[in-house]
Amino acid sequence: MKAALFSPCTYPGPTAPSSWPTPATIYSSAISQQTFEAAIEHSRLADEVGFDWVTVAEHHYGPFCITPNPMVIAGALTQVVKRAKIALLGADIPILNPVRVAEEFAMLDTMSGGRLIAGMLRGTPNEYVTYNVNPKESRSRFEEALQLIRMAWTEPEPFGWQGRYWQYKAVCIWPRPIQQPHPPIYMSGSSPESGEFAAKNRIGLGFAVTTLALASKASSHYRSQAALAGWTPSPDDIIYRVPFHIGESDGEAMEDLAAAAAASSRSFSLALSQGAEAAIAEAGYYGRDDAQRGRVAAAFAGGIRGRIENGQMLLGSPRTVVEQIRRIHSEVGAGVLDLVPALSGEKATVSIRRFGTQILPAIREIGA
Amino acid sequence: MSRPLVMLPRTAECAPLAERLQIKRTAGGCESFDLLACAEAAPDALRIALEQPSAAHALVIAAAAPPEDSTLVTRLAALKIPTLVLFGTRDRETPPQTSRRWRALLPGCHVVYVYDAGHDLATDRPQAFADIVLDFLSEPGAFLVNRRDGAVQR
Repeated sequence: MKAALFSPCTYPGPTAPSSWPTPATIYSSAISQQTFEAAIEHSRLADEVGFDWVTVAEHHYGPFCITPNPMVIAGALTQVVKRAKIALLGADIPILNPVRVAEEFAMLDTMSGGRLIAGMLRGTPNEYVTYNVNPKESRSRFEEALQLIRMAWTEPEPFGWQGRYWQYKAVCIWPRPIQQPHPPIYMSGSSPESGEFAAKNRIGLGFAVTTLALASKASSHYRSQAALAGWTPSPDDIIYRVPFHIGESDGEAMEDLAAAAAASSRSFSLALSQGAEAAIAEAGYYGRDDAQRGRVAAAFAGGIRGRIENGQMLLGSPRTVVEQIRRIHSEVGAGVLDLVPALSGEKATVSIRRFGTQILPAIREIGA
Repeated sequence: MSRPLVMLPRTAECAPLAERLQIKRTAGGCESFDLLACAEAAPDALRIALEQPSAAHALVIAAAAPPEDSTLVTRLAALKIPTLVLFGTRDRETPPQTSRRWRALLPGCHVVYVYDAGHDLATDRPQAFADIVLDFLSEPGAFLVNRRDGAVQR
């Protein structure tokens, strides 16, 4: 198995009461600057201790994740992460200019010497408010943007694009991606619709904020659809994102987490008003499987024990966590763990180091 | 648009068609015309454009493979008419990459991919097809420039 370190770049300072968009009435530039510095340092450390990838992601208008354009921080990572691949999971392509995305990805692939992993997501529903895009168009925009980005990467002659959502008279990007025919593509895939699309287009699939049971169901669907399309996804084609904290012992890991929870009671909301959420659900955003719609609530059910049981937290000593990882692999078939530090600061640093030195060597053989 | 648009039927025989075109144009008092050719009609459109260089104003070719007739291919170097070549992104008969061969023959031609259309562009995405053809024919020299008014005026 492979491991990625995800830096969500969460702003840790005090803010106005949680809502989305979060007003920036209480805000410190110094804290934001330190957040980026810490994320870059953690990524550098992950690279040093053997992580296979480092990951960044896109979210807007709030402290949960202050990388609205993850390409910018990925650019910085290309200069400090010397060996690991740099994964953007991802760019929210339905709400962006796809040609610009193709250009930025190509720059990152070039600057990193061909180490880019190009995640392309639909994003959380609130992101459709960000740039004023109708969430009903989410899937069809995603499909068009993906095809346009692939075309921009692979077609050397200038071409125009008469799309449904985007029109261009001439596209011919410079630089070109190093990886040929193009960098590996991943999308998120909890709904059956997404799994079918990924299988048909031979692209990788990522799971986040879900449960083992739901991810297992979605991953079986993806595999069976891929078989119909005439190919077999490799373990590397499935990413499973999960928060983690490694202690010297199970007790220490649990105490660290409890202490952090007691020190900070903040929670992040990406929820919109009831009316806006209803409009997004009616737009068909969540797909046809109703069980997947409740996956966020399901993932957080039952406190810490429940989250470990659901596969939504890796917590404990290295030995305990290796067993938790084995279970994720056997139930979901994931070959790449995208790990989110559950704590910040020095505790995160120690946990990243422990994962690299004590867990990574032990999970290499899983699924190999 | 005052200029007539001549849509070539796929079964056109170039010589008689060109002749008829000449007669009709003279009779109708038109000085020039635009040409639109789909698939197999492309070579005929190219021949008409070569034979009536002062009258053929602009040329649109849709979902067509480049000509294989070596005489015609050699003559294409002399073709000065603004040309737009269209392909559907789902076209399996003449896939979008066919455009590379057109660009080799006519380095100045514009290529546009019509997203989510197959070999029959006009049937699959009629509005998108009409929009791009009319945009080109209205001012071929300025085609690359967006000339629509995007502002909310009131």
